[in-house]
Amino acid sequence: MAPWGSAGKTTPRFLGQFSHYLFRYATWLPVLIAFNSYVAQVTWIRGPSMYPFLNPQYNESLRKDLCLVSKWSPHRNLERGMIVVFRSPENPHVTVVKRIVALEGDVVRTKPPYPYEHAKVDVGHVWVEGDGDKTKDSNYYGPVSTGLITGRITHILTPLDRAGRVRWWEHAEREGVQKAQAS
Amino acid sequence: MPPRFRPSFFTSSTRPLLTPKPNSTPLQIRLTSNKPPTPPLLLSQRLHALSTRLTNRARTSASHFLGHPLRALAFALKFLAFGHLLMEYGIWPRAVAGPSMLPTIAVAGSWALIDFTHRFGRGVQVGDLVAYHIPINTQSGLKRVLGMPGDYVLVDTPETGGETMIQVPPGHCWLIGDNLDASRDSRLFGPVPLGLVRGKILAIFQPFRSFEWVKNPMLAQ
Amino acid sequence: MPPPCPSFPAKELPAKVQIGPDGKGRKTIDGRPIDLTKDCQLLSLLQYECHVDRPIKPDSLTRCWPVQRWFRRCQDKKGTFMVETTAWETSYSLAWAVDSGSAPAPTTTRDPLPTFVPGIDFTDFKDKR
Repeated sequence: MAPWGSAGKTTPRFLGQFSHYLFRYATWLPVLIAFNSYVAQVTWIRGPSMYPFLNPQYNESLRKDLCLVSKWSPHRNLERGMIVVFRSPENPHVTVVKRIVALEGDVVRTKPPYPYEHAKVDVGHVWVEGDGDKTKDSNYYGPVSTGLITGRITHILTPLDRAGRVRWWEHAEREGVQKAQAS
Repeated sequence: MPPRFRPSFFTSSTRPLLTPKPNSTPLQIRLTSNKPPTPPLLLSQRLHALSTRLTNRARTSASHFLGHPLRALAFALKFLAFGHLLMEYGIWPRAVAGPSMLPTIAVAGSWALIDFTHRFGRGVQVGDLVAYHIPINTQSGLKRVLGMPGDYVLVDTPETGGETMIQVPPGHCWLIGDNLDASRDSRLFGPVPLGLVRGKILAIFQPFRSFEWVKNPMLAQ
Repeated sequence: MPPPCPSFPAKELPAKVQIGPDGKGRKTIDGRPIDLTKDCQLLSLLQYECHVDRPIKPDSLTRCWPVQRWFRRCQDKKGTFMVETTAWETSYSLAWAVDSGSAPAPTTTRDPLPTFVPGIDFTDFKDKR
């Protein structure tokens, strides 16, 4: 039962409610940021470097794959074949997606842009390569420090016909990797 | 007793001007209240009312946070996440130890005030001190920047007479400790990706003993 | 050793400086090639070789011998870049400056470098604790 006299108060009340809800939702923003950097994140894959595993239609359509990236302890338990997300060694503000080909201690037979025929992967580093031909990977900038890795791709979310868990352990091993004895 | 003369605007308390006659229909809208005016409260009464109102509000807000387990959880989550955000992007002291930065930083007992907004080498210049993730293990270190992307640096230690040089590749920096004898740095593991740089050192201090702002020796010249 | 980057001896520095990280040539603002001695400001940075006499004791005497590093801050059309000339400055800069004709007299091109002989000219100090 709003009396006439209160009609003039609706505008400030609306503003007050609006800012109240704005504040209440803004307090969730740090939670979202922490979740995205430590638990999981959903991200679009751009570019053809992981063709044909991700973005198989990169030259036919603009459709991009949507993937789930697990951010939980990204430096630990890395295995050959995993698809990882890391900051590009060339530009820290760019994040790239590649497959781990070799772990520390392995000797890799490199591909063309690399100046030497064989490369031993240093301690604390991994050798990453894209699945496709159009890829700028360890053959270009050398082994990548595991400190740069921010997550690993665990699931494909869209398109729905390929959606599901990334079965990285079923991926064929790359030829020319001489595994280290310890691992 | 003859009525005393009063101006009409003073009469509302005894006989309201708009009160209808007893036998007429009552007005729908009443502009003035029929209640007798409340006497002004004493100061002590006001304070009492205020205190009860505040305790009530505190009680309800406490039940607001603690009454529902999910609400308490959400509050804790928000609080922790906000703290994390501050820790990640703010300016914070960290304990540093080790002989690699002698004599700038003592072997033990020193703290560094680190500005984490300089993460990924933002706004870092040659001569600055930076905190970084060591590329070959999972620890953090503190070194001096001697080269940013595109700069030219000496790979060898100066005193050995070695003359090998490289140009720092894009996206990397060249980090060398001040104590050349006891520092494991870019001479060992090569250029460090800027993505591993965590922040810039603003000051070195020992609690309750000394505090010194870090000056870039190259900028003073 | 990530990433693979070609190394070169300090003698080739004046030639290497002409090429930027993107592979394109560097030019000064008025369009000349970079001259390390004329276009670049000489800067020095002190580093040290320290010896902690008795590392187990917290207040052990620490002796540090300074190691001088030299840098040149150069300006080109795209901005500034740094060149470490520690090795080049002592061995080649005078000879190069005379050869290229940019320096008329070797003694006046710049101030003589202060020399530090390890063990003689040293700073002695106690660890601040």
